[in-house]
Amino acid sequence: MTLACRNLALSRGGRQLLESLNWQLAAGECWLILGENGSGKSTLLATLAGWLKPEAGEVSLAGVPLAQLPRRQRAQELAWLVQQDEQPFPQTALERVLSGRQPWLQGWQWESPADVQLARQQLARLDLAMLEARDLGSLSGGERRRVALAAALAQQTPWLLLDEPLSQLDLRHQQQALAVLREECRQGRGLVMVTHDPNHAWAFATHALLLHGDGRWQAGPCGEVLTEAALSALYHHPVRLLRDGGRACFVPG
Amino acid sequence: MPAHLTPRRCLLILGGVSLLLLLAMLLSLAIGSSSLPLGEVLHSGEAGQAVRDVIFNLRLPRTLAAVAVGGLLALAGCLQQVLLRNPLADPYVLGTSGGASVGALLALLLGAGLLLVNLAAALGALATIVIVFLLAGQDHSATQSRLLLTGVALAAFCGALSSLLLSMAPDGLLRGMVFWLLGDLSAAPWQWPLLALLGLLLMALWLAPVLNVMGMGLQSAHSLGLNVHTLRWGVYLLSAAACALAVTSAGMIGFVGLIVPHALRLLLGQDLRLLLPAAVLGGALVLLLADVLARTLLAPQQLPVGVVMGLIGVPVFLWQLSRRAAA
Repeated sequence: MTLACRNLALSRGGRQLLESLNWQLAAGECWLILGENGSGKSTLLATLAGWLKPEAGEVSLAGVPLAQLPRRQRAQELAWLVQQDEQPFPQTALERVLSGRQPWLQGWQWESPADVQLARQQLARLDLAMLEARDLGSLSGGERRRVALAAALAQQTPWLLLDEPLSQLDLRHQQQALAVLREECRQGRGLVMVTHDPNHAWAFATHALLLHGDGRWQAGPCGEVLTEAALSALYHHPVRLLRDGGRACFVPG
Repeated sequence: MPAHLTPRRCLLILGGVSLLLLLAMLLSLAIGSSSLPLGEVLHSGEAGQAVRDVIFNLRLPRTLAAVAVGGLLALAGCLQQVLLRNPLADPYVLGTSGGASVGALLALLLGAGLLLVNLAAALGALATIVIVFLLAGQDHSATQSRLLLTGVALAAFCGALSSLLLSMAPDGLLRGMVFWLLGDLSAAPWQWPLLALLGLLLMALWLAPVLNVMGMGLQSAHSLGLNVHTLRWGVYLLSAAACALAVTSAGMIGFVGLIVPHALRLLLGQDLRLLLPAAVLGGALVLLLADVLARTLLAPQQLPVGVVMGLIGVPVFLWQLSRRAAA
């Protein structure tokens, strides 16, 4: 199943962020969206999720325009992890992850033991099994972020749209979450992730989309798009590629 | 608190609260400015008849009115808190009750009877609902601050109008108008508020699973397949209707709608499949107990239940708030 943008244009606050984006994503591909602050990364993700309407053009899923897809079906196809996490009410970590099952439940149908087991599995994969009964308000920012990621995984959708899922995570949990995402890709899920670290490409990404924030964009396989020259131009700051044996790493120059 | 809500726990808790409410209703029937032995109800003859008269014609209607109004206020508060995603929102914050007050005070000023006063209060509430809807209905942002600001501004405007009407009222009418504002159950109807409570609760319960998701934020709810904008207005209308009905039948009774859902949330968690019905039962229970106090504290003089509720409710609220800050 492909996710596609045709002639997509986005603007925010009178600024043209993106023009005529023609972009095809196939199942099993993992895309990084890179760009400066305010270049439209989150706006693009919100548009892919159907939350924002594009200024021009359209997003389609398996050939069907997103706007024509029934909401419930869309929620069974696309999971969207938003950047801000608000939690005005008490909620346990397990309750939050169980909320990801909502698109699969009918009306008052209670979560089944299978749903609870699935939710617990997602918590365990992100090292949260011990925290399942804790109120989200008592967790740290990084822990809450992992719970939100677990909830998106529990939605069991073919597509995951993740807005900076790793930004608050410590080194070990970042590597753990990256391994989980790599596994999801290997199972055939498509993944679109907004990030500020081009090195996430080495961990699992297959493709990258660079947003320059002035309408220009560049999309393609990581090997073609992620170069010293392209990233230096993208961030308006010199970026160098360091090699150490078989490993490579982008660092600010 | 367990990690997630099971149907068993839900039913157990609701059964327990229902039992407490039934006991409180019996208490309310037995206690009053004259204490009557409840057993006499079963006796034949004149003594039994007199007791039956007091209990069935005076105390039972008032008890049922307290149950209905308390339930409506707690339901309105609970929904309002989900709507504004603020655990400390009050059912009066968006101006519905202010509109009802203006309508009722205007009718009282024109010398209308009880039925017309209730009708005018309902019309005033309806007018504010329509105005909020027209002014804030097109707000499709994620934060939805326009709804809150519109409601709060409208509430302030209604407050000014109410003060204007009070200041223009002749002395003879002033007492009745002030008493309406204080909130009183002695003349409150119980039939249609109770029916409306049942209807509104059923509608709210029907929405409970999706409202759970909406409490997590509009974007998350959208991602889980909900039509958040339509749903928000559904919740607003349910909450405004419950608030308007409560204020129309018993005047402005404060704090039930704020404290009961808030306290129960801390005890039971936020899952609305449990919290909504528990709040309705809890609101009924709390207002009923406040009314028993209002009838007996200075008997034979009766205090307005709104005053008793405020005198007890505010310290309890402040205590809860400070405990929350310490935790």
